Amino acid sequence: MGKIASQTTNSVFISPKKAFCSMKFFQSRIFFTIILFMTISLPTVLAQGNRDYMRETGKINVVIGVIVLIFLGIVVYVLRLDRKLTKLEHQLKDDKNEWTN
Amino acid sequence: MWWKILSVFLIVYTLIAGTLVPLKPGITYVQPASAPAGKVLTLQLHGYNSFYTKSPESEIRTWLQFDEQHAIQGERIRVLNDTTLEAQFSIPSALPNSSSSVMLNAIIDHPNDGVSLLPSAVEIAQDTFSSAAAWKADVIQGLHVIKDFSYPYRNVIYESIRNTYFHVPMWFVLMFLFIASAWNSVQFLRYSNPSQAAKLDASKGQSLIDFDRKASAYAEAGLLFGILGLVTGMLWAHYAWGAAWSNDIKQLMTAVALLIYLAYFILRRSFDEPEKGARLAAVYNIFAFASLVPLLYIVPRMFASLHPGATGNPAFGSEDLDNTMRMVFYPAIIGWTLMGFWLAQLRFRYQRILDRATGLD
Repeated sequence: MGKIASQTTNSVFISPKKAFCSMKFFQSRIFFTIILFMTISLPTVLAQGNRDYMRETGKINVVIGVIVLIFLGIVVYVLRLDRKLTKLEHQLKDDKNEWTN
Repeated sequence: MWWKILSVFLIVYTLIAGTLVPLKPGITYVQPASAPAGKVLTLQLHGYNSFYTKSPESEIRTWLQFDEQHAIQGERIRVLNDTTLEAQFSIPSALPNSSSSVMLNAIIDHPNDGVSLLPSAVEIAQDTFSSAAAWKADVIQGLHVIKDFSYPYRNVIYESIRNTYFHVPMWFVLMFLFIASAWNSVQFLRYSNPSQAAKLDASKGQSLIDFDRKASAYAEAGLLFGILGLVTGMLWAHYAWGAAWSNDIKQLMTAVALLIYLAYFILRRSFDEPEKGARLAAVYNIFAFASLVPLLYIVPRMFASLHPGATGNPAFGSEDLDNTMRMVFYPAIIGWTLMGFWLAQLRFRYQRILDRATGLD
């Protein structure tokens, strides 16, 4: 039982020290889970105390939300390209043609 | 390189002008929202972005309007603060038509702020129908039209009219990228013909497989902007229409179009021979583009839509976009389009290097 558990340790677990400065963090599922969680929970957090942040002040926060979504979309696309380039760099570096991540 | 700098410059301009330029003054709501006929109605009008105190009360005029022939001018106007105005209207006992209630538009004419209008602001109800002859017909004229650098005020959407510079250009970028993609697919098929292939100038860096790579890269970037347009549209719809997905004809057709393009990538990857896959993908891409035009531009106009300007006229007629908005909207389209082509170009260059490294080129 213990053996199986140790074998299936997920590769997304990174040491906390390295976590926020390595590229791997941004490619990990944890990062996207955090982003997803934030996106879902943000309106709930902001709506506390009978205040509707999205509808007050002329719905200006809808515009901010749209800009943030576009920015995040482009960033995710660039990060995916970044990951592909990293793979290619590793591939070009060693003649063994190993696809190291 | 210059167009990448231009892209950044135009997007920064869009962000600054799109968020900082104020809205024109407008009326958010009036109190009370309904009143009986035949009485003097004291109405409070609540403004948005307005500066009612900047002009003397005697110069401010206000009306309750039914149609072009029927309007009541307000009397004893009192300015309570910058955003609140009080006026008295003597409502006649008979309504202009035989229905039990009518909706009246509120109009304020202010020398400093200009004209603002709230459609269907007050409901006037009558118990019994009498002659319509007594209805007042105060003339609305000599309105102050202020021409300054500000965006139009629209009810319900308010400040989110600024999304015109962020949500709408996504669809323009998608269209330009898919046109480029289809064009490269056509070129790929054209030069696949051995008699045409000789015309490719290798010294200028032209190669057959580049057309396929470009078609794929443009389609991928187009898909990204399509998803962004759909997601931002859903956020906006949640606060403007009340629901993120209301099966609006444009939403449905766009989702179908994006799924068709998603299938393009699945098709590309499902062949062992790259040559064969590229050719079939090019053919599919042309058909996908041929279906995109009716899905996005023809079918939505045949059904009722929540989107503005969907019936008959081009999507952005003079009513939806004023001259101030054009000064930001057109640069926004150019800026985002260049950004889309930039992302596609990076993807294309990556693919070319990858193919050379793995010996496919």
